[in-house]
Amino acid sequence: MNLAWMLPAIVVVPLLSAAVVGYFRNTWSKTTVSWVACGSVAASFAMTVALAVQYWGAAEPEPIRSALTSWGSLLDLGLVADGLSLWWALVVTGAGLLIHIYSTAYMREDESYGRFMAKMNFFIFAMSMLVLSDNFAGMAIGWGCVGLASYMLIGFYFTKPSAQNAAIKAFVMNVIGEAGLFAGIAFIYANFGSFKFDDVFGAIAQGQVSVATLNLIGILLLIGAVAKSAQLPLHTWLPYAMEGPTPVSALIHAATMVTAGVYLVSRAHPLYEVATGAALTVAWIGGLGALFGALVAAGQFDIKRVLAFSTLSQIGYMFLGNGLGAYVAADFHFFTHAFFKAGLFLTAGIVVHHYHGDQDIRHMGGLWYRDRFAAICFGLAALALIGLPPFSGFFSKDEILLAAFQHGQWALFAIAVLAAGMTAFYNVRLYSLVFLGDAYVPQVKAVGKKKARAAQLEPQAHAEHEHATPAAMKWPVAILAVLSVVSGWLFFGHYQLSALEPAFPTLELHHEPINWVVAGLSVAVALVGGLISWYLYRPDGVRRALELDPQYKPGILYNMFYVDTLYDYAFVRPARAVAEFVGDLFDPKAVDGIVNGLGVLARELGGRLRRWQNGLVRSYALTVFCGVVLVVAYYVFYV
Amino acid sequence: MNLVFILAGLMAIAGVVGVILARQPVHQVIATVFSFIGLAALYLSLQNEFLAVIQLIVYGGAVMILFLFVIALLSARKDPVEKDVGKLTPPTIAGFAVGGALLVMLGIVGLFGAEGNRGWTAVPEQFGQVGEFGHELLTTYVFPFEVIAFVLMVAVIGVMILVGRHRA
Amino acid sequence: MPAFSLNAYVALSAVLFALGGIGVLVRRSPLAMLMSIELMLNSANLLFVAFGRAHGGYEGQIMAFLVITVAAAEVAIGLALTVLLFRRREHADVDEVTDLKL
Repeated sequence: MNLAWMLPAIVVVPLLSAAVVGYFRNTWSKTTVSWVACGSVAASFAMTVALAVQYWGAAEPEPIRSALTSWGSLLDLGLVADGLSLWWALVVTGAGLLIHIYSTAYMREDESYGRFMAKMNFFIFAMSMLVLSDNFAGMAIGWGCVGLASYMLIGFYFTKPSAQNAAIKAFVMNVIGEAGLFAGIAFIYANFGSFKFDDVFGAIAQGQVSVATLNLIGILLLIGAVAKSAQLPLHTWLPYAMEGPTPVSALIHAATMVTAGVYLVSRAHPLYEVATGAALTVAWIGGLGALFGALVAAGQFDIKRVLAFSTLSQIGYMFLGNGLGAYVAADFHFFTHAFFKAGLFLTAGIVVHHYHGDQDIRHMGGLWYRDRFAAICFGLAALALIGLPPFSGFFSKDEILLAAFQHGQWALFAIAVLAAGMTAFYNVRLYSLVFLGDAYVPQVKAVGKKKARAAQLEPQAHAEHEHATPAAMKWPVAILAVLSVVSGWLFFGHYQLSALEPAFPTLELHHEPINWVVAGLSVAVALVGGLISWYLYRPDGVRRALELDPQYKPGILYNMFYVDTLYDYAFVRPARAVAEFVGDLFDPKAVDGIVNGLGVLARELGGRLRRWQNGLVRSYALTVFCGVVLVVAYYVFYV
Repeated sequence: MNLVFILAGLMAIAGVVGVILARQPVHQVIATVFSFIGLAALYLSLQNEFLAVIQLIVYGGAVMILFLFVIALLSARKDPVEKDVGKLTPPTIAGFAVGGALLVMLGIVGLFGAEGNRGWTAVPEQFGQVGEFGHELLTTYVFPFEVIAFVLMVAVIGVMILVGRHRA
Repeated sequence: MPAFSLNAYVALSAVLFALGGIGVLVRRSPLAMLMSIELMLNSANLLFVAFGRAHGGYEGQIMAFLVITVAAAEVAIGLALTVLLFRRREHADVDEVTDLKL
């Protein structure tokens, strides 16, 4: 049967739900809001699954299409469900569903709960639009909408100035990316005459456009991808985006939105196969990002910031894979990453819940003994992130390393392996500081016996106040943890290839047996990194004591290699100076001066001219005569 | 004829200059009359006998008498000479400048205008005579004639309203 | 036929007009100004008559006649106003009458 109608429904149902929940957010009860919001995402997920079953169940997978509008070549928008878009849509709606369910418990206390769920639904709509579009214009629309959703959700606690600034920062940096993206799309239209993927990629296959132009387009699209995926050098917004609630960080800034750049490059792979210069740029940006993210993550003290830089690093791996032509590997890594990263974030949410919103890992410790569930889930996801077999991360990351190895890109290979080692390092550090060791005791100044005794009692009081984690938060985390473990070897090999293969008809994909050299190397490096980290950060490790010391001043890693400071001085301050100049100086003095000056001018002129009417007959007569003289002169000399 | 024209022209101009330069108002009146006589002679040279006579009677005989009466009325007690006569104050200079400009330009027009080279058309003997004039006035131009009569009446009434004594 | 060309009459009329204008602007007595205005009207009359003679029609004469009449009426009114304004003043000076000043 024809399920093509489901395609628009997947996109539209969350949008309608967002509108409805948004409108009724204050009249409906929180339960109703929860059911409606989660129900719409569940419906989208169900429809995606149905489409997936139909697509991959058929002998010859045929993309399912649905047209949205067909107003000439400019506005010919449509949706398509082929291997790539369904692969992503499953993750988006699936992970989205789990996180929505998690949010019903996590955000329940918040009084703007309805607003939150509405905005999350809007995000699901936007991301679905992005991945399901069959043309660049529709994708750009989705791109812009996810940017909007990100802004709304980062700045969800809009009364906090830090949240406002973070939201603006994210949006502005994404605008930079969108400039590149739209320029690239404009070039596409100029060169190919159409936005549709089929038209564009078909023309590329026929070699209608020069390689130089394709390289240019590739770079421009890459700018957009870099901004959206928070890769170097447009990455500085991602750590600040953690100002949003934890479910937002999980869904948008880990699993889905930041991977939109990866989707873009994967989708435009015919272009990047020909534009090798642009592809190599993608790979290098990814490789450097992987190493950068891993290094900086090792110096952060905010649990969400560690995970944010970890995301940066892992997306770097995906870019690396895409740039080297290993699109399947990159997309598989996206798949597994979504699970373990979302799992890590949601568990972090549980952890933060224990500490009443305090995200500083120096104030944690010993959580293994208090919340075994969170510790186990976090540990499983972390092992997947590190990339140890048999966890999922191993399979996907290993494929990317293999691609680098096979293409002979030794520099990139070395960087990627080093980053793998660092990944293990920061993960062990994080786990150790949060879950192991002694619980953090706030330092109290010695102020006398009575107060000291009261301070000693406080941690116990805190322990009693901890409420148990709600079931709605536990189940999604558990599911994600399980997926982190199994999705690797479940989908590896035949399933994965046959799933993604139709999306990449031009590539010759063959099932690679595991290259034991590369695999062994990556595992070894990870183990080495982990052991070093364990040595430094174990409960009685040297480094741990140093970093937990309140007097400790963080260094270059903590300051993110001072990139953010650089941007501040290079861009923000001049911009602010210009704005102040225009607003405080130019506008009142010059613009208002002109406007007021006109008034003054009129008044002065009137004052001067008024003296002409002096009541003297002779002066009036003189005026008349002058007029006569002028008229006569005109007639005498010009006519 | 030439001499008459030249003399008449000079008289006219002299009259106007006299108005500008004279100190006493009565001298101005005399200068004006002088000018009128010159103009009447010019009308005669153009074969407009009736108009010449009308000019002398109406202008010289009636209008100037009016002026004399008003001079008499206004200067009953005081020196009638106005302030700053003959002195070159800035308004005076401005007046001379503007007037001079006008003079020059109109002179150019007058002396070098193309119409001037057109000849005189021949006119019948009766051209400027009373009979012909009256005939034209009362047949072809009877409407303006009537309107003029109306204007004169309005003037008379106006003067009476303006200056007539209003006793309660 | 008049001895001089039309140009001469036009030039003379122009001179009279300009000089009359000077008279209006230079003198301060209202009577002098009115007299100068009369002279300007006369110069226009001269022009009418000259051109009427040149074209051979009666329009020039008639127009001059009408102008004379209107001038007479206007003088009457003007003098009445002069009398009203300057009856009680010390000097008959136009520059002292500035009540219409803004």
